[in-house]
Amino acid sequence: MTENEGFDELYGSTREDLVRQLYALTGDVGTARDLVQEAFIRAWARWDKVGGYDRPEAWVRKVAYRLAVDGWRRDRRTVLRADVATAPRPGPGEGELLAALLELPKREREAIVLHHIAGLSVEETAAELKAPVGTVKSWLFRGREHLACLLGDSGVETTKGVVAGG
Amino acid sequence: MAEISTDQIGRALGDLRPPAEVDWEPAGELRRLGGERRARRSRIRAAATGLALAALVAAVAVPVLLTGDSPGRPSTTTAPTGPSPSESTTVPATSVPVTTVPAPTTVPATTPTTLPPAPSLAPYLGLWPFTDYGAVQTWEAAYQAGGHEPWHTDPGQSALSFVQGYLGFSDIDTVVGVTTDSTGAHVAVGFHTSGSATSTAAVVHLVRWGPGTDAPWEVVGTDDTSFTLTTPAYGDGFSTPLVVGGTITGVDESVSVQVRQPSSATPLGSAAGIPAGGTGSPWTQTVGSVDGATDPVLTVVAVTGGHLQAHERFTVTALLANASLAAG
Repeated sequence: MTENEGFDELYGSTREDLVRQLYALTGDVGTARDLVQEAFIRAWARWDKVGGYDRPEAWVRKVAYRLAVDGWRRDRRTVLRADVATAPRPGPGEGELLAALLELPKREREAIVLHHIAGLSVEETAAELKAPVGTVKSWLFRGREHLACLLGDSGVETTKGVVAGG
Repeated sequence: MAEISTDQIGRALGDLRPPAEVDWEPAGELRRLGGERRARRSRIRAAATGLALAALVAAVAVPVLLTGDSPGRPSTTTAPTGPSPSESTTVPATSVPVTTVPAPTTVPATTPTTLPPAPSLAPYLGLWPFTDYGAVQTWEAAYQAGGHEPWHTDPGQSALSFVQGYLGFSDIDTVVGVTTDSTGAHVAVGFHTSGSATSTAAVVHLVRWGPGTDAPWEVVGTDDTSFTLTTPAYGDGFSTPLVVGGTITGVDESVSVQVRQPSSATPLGSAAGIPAGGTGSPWTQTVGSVDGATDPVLTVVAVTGGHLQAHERFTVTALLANASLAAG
């Protein structure tokens, strides 16, 4: 497989999952797409190294997360609140779930996204966040508790078929 | 109110999907852009190596700079006495008066003849005070030999020096708070309004450049909320005329823009204040010419003020200069 083919295959096979994760992290699909594409651009700029990694997608994900969290879009918070209020939503429940997710502290949100949306194990999430496993478990527990509290307060459907509130 | 179980939360998160189809760029376009970045990095690396070699030559020729208080030595500021940075620590608001503003670090020192791989700041760009890792190594050697410019080890002092010594905003003279986490240090800088009350002008983001506890802090940007600079994007190449823009929340603001580089005492380009205001309102300004760019990274700063003092809020971004120079 040529370098080009390796990159193209990685891009084609992982971008949808990545944008789903970044969407959960940022609350805006356009931002998520931009972040993922920017991460892939950076990956190609360093493809001599990144292409040799066992899991190059992990490198791309890490860069995209960093870009999202650390300020590539430094007006993130302002934009997010506006986008959550106005962006089209797939259903009434997911919009509120996304809004609640964006209310979480950064580390809790990152842990939730990595574990529940990216599908990493707790140990993998801990390695990704450079945090002890026990700390990550605590973030996950508190994050879910916070989400349950926020969604309970809203009294709306959390997602398809899961009714809450009242 | 009905309870929502955490299991339900987990399933709901697993079902979360973007609300619309994503309009992807073709892989070939990303490869083209990535290739341009790679070429640009190679040019910067070559320039940095040249600077480091020049520093080596200077170190051999002017060893007195390492040990003596020669008249030509850049001025230093006593580092504030406070807790050293630690993980996830927030330091209460403090005022750090600065009497002498440090200059960008350019003092030559002993440099290894074989340069190790330079630690990267990625995904950030270094704005100030160091322009490349060779300069970091130079300072570290001088610091370890004689405590040279200890303020580099303090993020609060580094941020304040960036604002006053580099940007020239001497009326922003207070460290309102310092937070450190895994992404670096986030220093709120501002000024006193009345009594002990303070107003934050910006949150300066710094990261340590290199490994070890002596690694100095480098400014990489600002964390923006109510005043942003999003055009051009962080890390873009620069060209003139330079169209700069973002959003602002405020009343009767006047946004002016400067383009700076660490090796120049004066701005390379500027644009006078334009009226702005509202809630998240877009602003845009054009810098007609930018002359004399030689450093790898340029700083674009937008500042507003005029209510309480000349400089009340600011935001910065980083641009790569070499692409333009190479093209020119």
